[in-house]
Amino acid sequence: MNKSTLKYIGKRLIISAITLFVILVVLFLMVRFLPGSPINNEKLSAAQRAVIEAKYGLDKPLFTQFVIYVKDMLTGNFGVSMNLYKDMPVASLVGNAAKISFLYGLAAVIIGTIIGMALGVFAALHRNSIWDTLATALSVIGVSIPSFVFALLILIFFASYLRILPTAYSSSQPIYSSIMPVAALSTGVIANVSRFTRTEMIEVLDSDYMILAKAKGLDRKTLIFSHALRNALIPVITILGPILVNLMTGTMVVELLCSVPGLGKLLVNSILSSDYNIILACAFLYAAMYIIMMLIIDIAYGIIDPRIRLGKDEG
Amino acid sequence: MADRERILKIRDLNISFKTDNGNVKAIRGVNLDLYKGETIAIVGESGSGKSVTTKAIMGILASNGKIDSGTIDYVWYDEYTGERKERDIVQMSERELQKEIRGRKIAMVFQDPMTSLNPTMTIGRQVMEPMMYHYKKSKQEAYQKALELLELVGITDAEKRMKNYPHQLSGGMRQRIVIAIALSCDPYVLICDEPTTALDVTIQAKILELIQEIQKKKNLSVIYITHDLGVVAKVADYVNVMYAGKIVETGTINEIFYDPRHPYTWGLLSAMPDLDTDDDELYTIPGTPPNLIYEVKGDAFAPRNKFALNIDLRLDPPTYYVPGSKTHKVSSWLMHENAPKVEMPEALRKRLDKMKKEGV
Repeated sequence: MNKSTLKYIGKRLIISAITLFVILVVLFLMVRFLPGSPINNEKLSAAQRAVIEAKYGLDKPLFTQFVIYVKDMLTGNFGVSMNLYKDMPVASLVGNAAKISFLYGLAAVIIGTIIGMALGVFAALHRNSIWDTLATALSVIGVSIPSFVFALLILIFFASYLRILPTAYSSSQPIYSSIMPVAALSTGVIANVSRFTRTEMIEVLDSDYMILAKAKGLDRKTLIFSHALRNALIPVITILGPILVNLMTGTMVVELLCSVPGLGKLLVNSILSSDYNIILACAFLYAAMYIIMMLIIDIAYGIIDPRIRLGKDEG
Repeated sequence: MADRERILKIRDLNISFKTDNGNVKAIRGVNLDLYKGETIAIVGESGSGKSVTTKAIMGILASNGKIDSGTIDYVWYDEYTGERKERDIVQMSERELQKEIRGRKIAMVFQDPMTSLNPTMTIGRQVMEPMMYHYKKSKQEAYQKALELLELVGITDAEKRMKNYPHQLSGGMRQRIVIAIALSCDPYVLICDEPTTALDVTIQAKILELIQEIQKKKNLSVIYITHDLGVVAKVADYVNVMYAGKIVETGTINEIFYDPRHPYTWGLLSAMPDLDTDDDELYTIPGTPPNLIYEVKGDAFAPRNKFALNIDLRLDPPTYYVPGSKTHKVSSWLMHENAPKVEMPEALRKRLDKMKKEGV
């Protein structure tokens, strides 16, 4: 890595940090101005309410609250749950939920990418045939129908009608009960990856170097596997990052539907009960993931592509 | 020239392409001969069917293209028994074409070296691949031969270049690599599809010389496709002038350059820039080539031809031998014995005489 690359990365890091701070300020204010309060038990007297508010520091001025929050956050302390999970540390709550969401997202991306790539390559190889049309139609359906609709359909068919899959997540059968939500999540990935792969593959198949490779007298299998695939699949890697982040932020409804104790479900429930610290931590985590992913993609883009990677020792 | 041995004989080749707008008859009855160790050039405007003809020889037509009729007879001697064999490429199966012809007996150098190499594969692998594939050579053998080939095509630092990727080389270097790949399986026929068009002028001459040198060393037969008559004059033994999917005039280089008979050839030669033309403007052939979706009635060149006869608009002219020559053939009604005597334009006459005197 040379100096200008390092400088670029440094600049990107600083910009990302500033963006995150601004997001934190906005989130903090938005959460505090939400209608309702975490202390919403109507049986409490005004005196009791004041005691609880003092306990969570809600009686202090807004600015002071923010300073305390940021100070705590920098030491890894995201506060405690005020309502939903009484006094449990938010960091571990969000951490556990994020782990599940991340695994779901990752599984959906891996499964979706493999199936999507295969579908895209298959469509490209049978271009303009009935198979191509079929594969394209499938991916258009996949792109245009939201994943929670798929989740509902799968739920109705496999859980309610055939009764071969459980309707809800259970920690005793984590893998078996995850089949349905992961399948629902991966439909979008399959659709996106297959469309992208098809376009890339067709472009590669029509390229001059494929004609030259054909003129070498190679058979179709060698042509596709050792010449076309690599060139068509490299660009696909670049869209996987954004897809993963989109999945993690887009899982909320699917998580609720299938009762998956993930980040999405936690966020929705915490909003419903005005649990300030959990809302803040979840929303901030989403924002941070997005920004970090953007950062990684920007930096990795130059590392993945050999034309950029190897360009340096030229001349 | 008694011992000339014909290795490629194309007769009455017809090729059409299915497009959204209709059937395009791109090749309309092409006849072509190639003899061992000789060089022929196919000249013509863009879209005249030069590339399509050679792609048909290799069996690499685009998927919407189809050979409607005709034969492409290819003669070779068996590698082991030395037995003479003759096959019609048109009748060969895809698998036979792929295993026997492509890359192995007939190889091709493409137009644009910037895009014709695989960007994610090292030069070494791309040169070694055909030998390892067709002749089952071991990696070491193939590596050794690849090094020799790279040196043959004039690449210095061959060992280092083997590990390079295409983007690390210049255009001229890449074209040398493409030539090395074409030569890797010791083909008998080398097809060069505008091999120098994408290169800058200083490199063009070097690449042409290189191909000629290798041709002599390996006794190759070469087919050049080009629209550059300067290239033709430099390299070809025989010239085929192609227009709208037909060969309108064919002959030795001297016959075409000093005694052209077809008005289209006149046009091409007049449109060639040279240093001592006094005119302010370079001559261009008026009009554009016909759209081959529609059936061509009569001579395809007639609408652009100021010498066209009435019959040109109705009937396709047959092919005539130019009197006194066994090699010079012209498809034009002007060659008919009853046709009015039409001479080539005065300016062109002068120009060709001058060229002849200077022995260009």
